[in-house]
Order: sequence, then C-alpha cells, then structure tokens
Amino acid sequence: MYSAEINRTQRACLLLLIDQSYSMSEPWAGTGMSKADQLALTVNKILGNAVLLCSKGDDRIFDYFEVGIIGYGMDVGPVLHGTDLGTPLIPIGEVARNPKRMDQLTQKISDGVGGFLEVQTNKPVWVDPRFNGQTPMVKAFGTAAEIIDSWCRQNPRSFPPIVINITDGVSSDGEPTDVAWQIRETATEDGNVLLFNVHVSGMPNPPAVMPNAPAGLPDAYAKMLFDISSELPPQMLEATAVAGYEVKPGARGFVYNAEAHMVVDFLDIGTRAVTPTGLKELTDGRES
Amino acid sequence: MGIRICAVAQSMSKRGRSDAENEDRVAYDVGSGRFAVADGASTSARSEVWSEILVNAFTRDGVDPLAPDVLDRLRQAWWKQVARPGLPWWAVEKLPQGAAAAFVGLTVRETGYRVRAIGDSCLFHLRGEEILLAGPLDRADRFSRFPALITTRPHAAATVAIWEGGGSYDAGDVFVLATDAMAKHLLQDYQTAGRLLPVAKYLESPEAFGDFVARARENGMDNDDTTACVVQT
Repeated sequence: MYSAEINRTQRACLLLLIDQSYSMSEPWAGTGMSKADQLALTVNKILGNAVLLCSKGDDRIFDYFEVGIIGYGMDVGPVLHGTDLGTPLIPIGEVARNPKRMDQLTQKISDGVGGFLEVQTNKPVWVDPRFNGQTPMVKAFGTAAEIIDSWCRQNPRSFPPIVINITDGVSSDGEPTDVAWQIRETATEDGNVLLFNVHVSGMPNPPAVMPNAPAGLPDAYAKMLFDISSELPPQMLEATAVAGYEVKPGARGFVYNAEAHMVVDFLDIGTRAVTPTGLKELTDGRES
Repeated sequence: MGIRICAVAQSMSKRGRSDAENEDRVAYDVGSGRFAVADGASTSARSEVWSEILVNAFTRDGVDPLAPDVLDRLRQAWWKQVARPGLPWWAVEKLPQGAAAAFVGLTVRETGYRVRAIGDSCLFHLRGEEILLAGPLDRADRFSRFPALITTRPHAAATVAIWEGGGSYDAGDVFVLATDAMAKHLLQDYQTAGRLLPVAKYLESPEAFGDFVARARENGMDNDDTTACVVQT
C-alpha cells in the first residue's frame, strides 16, 4: 500500500481545500500578515516548489501529478488558475505554463561559482488571497469527495490522492465527519485517499503537531479534526521526522493551531510525496 | 610489460523512461586503467550533464573530480553548459539548486588498484565468486533514501563523505562498478546465495543487459536508471 510508482503515465493527485471565510482576514500570529495573505503566499510558494520538483532545469516539466485547489467561504469551488468546475484538476505542467500572472521580485541567486547575483525574477502567482462569508466545510469536503471519486475511478492503479484541508475555523454548515470518512474510504488499488487537516494559528494554545492520539487536544473540535485525519504512510512519516518533527508510529496528518512554517513544511511534504523521488533527501557530502 | 585489462559497460534507463532521460553515466579508458560510473540524482537540475562531466574528468582528463580544486572547475563547467538565455521561469529557479550525483572512480595499475567514491554507486572487487571488497556500501540494508552526493553547489564540501579503498589484486580478479539499484541487487543476491551474480555475462550486449534488468526488476530490483561496468584483469 502507498507504494505505487508515480510517473507520467501513472500520475498522482494533490487536492488542497483552503478556507476563505471572513475570519481569514485576521492576523496570523508571528507573520505580520493576515491568514488569507499568508496562506495565498504559502500556496503559491508550494506550487512553485512543486513545479521545480517536476523540472530538470530546462524547458521540460514532467507531469507527475495533477493538482487542484478548492476554496470555501462565500463560495465553494476551484480557485486554482486554469481550473473550473468541469476541470478541477490540472497537470503540474499546465500549472507551470499557465500562472495567473508573474510578479517581479528582486532576488539574490548563486552565480554558480561562489558569488551571488542580484537579479529580477518572475514569481508565478496562481492563487490570490480571498476572505468572505462563513466556513462551509461540509460542502467543500463534498466537492472534494466528488472530484477524488472520479479521479480514483480513472486512475485505479495510481498512488491514492492526497487531500489537505487548511482552515482556521469551525465548520458553519454542519459536522464534516461523515463526508470526511466518505473521502477517506475512497481508494485506488494502492490504498485509501489520504485526508490531512491543518488548523491555522489564532489561539494561545500550543500547537499539536501530527499526534498519534487525541489526548491533550484542547476541545471536541480539535478531536474531530484528529479523528478524520489519515495516518501518515511510512515514507511521509520518515520525511516528517527528517523535517525536524517528533513523530511517532501512527501519527496522523493533522496539525492543530499551526504556525505558518508548519503549514509550509506540511504542504511541502505533501507535494513531494506526489513526485517520484520527491521524498528522497539529497546531501552534499556533509553527511555520510 | 603492461597489464592486460578488458572492460565492458551497459546502462539502461528507468522503466517507462526514454534512453535520453537516463541520468547515469559510465566511461572508461582501458589504456590508462581508469573506470568511472556516476548516478545523477533525479530531483536535482541537469544531473545527466553533471554525471557526464564527472566520469569524463576521471577517465578522459585523468583528474580526480572529488579534489577541491578540480571540483570547482567542474562546477563552473556544469554551469556553463546548462545556463542559457531564454529558459522558462522554472529552469531559471531550478538551476541554482544545482545538480547532484553519486560517483565511483576506479584506477587499476600494475601495482594495485585504488577507488574513490561518494554515495551509493559502488565498487566490488571479486576473486572467483568471493567479494574481497565492496564499497562505499557493503550490505544491501545500508542503502537509504539519504545518500551523500557530490553537488555543483559552490563550497559544498566533498571530503567528509569520500570513501576510499584499494590494494593489490591478482590476474583474473574482476572489478564491478554499479549504480545503486544494481549494486543493492547484487549485494542482496550475494547475501542470499553466497556468490555474486555473473555480471560480465549480462553485459555482453545491450539486449542481454536489458533482459537481465527486466528480470531483476520483476524480482524486486528498484526501478531506477541502472548501470554497470565490469573490468576483467
């Protein structure tokens, strides 16, 4: 299980669900930005990194996986540029070639011989910050369930989809447990869909990072998010440990009261997991 | 009187990939007794170019690519080959991350042999069915997802992770250089059967190697670019 080869003819799937409710306009502790701004920044950065994972440093992009983003707030639907209700998932190569816009930034890069060059770089943007309305998480999960059910039927031998839900609040349209389980019970021949949940920071409680038991979680809502989150498969558990997190066997893909860097790390591991050698760590001779 | 050596090498890309996508490289120069294999890391940038630079430096130019002064020059050569105007944004961002590769280089002289390596591309010194030396990794369970690699990143030290071996050999001894999938497979089989698979036989032709690799993959060898070089003394 969770061992299917990922390649261009047997792609993987990554689906992000991002909370765009009004409360996302509030500050994200430690970032100096609103949650919506920081989340859009993070998602754009992660998508950019994912493109780089599928690049060899020339014109080619290898379509190792398909990606989609469902936003939920005033509306529920695809928010990744280039997607719509009829095509909620697109190959990563299309993501690379078709950003919403390119923002110009000044950046220092290596000159390849030990120095640095200050250059104007173009940073792609696929998602803009948005915040409005309530938190219709049940409807968002329902939309995700339909998308991944269809994908699994079309890709029965593939690594199962990874669905990552990022929210700062409590569902406003009911209890999402049933539809979350519907997602988790969807499967390819290689295993059940992996559903992970990230609750972003806003409260003074300490974060709970990929726990393997609900003990210590502050309330019933946190315990519900823990319950509906999948266990990390071994290779993701290992990558999470390498990223510096103390994880135990049985750890769930769940972060409660997450700080911004944790969301970056979590999305990074998720995107690397859907590329063939993305979880392989490269060292440069400092380790043996 | 010079030593009598013959060598043969084969390489095959990962199943589902074209030959052009193979990031392994092998090169040898029987006259100078130098043999090398490099395995470019798939996640890094233009690693096939880096692999080629490493093996050619060792066999054709007769230098040690792991020596700091040589390494600096090779890193510049890599950058010169891969950076060009008009690249798309993802290539512009990817290239500064650099290339990475495992490398093993073997020098055979009348007086003995010497090997220097980084990572999980391995050398085996064989006498009959016995392995006299294997390294940098000598057991199948020592292969991991975290190999040390030689990179194009400026100032990244190579010296800490260099594995060195060598010694004397007898006429008739065989050396095998192999990238990780093949090296691990050979060690697994050796641990089970107590003898190394007859690698030279599988390298007689591209077809023979293709058949061997296909069978080995069916029997659990990792689906990776696969390269071997056999040196018969």
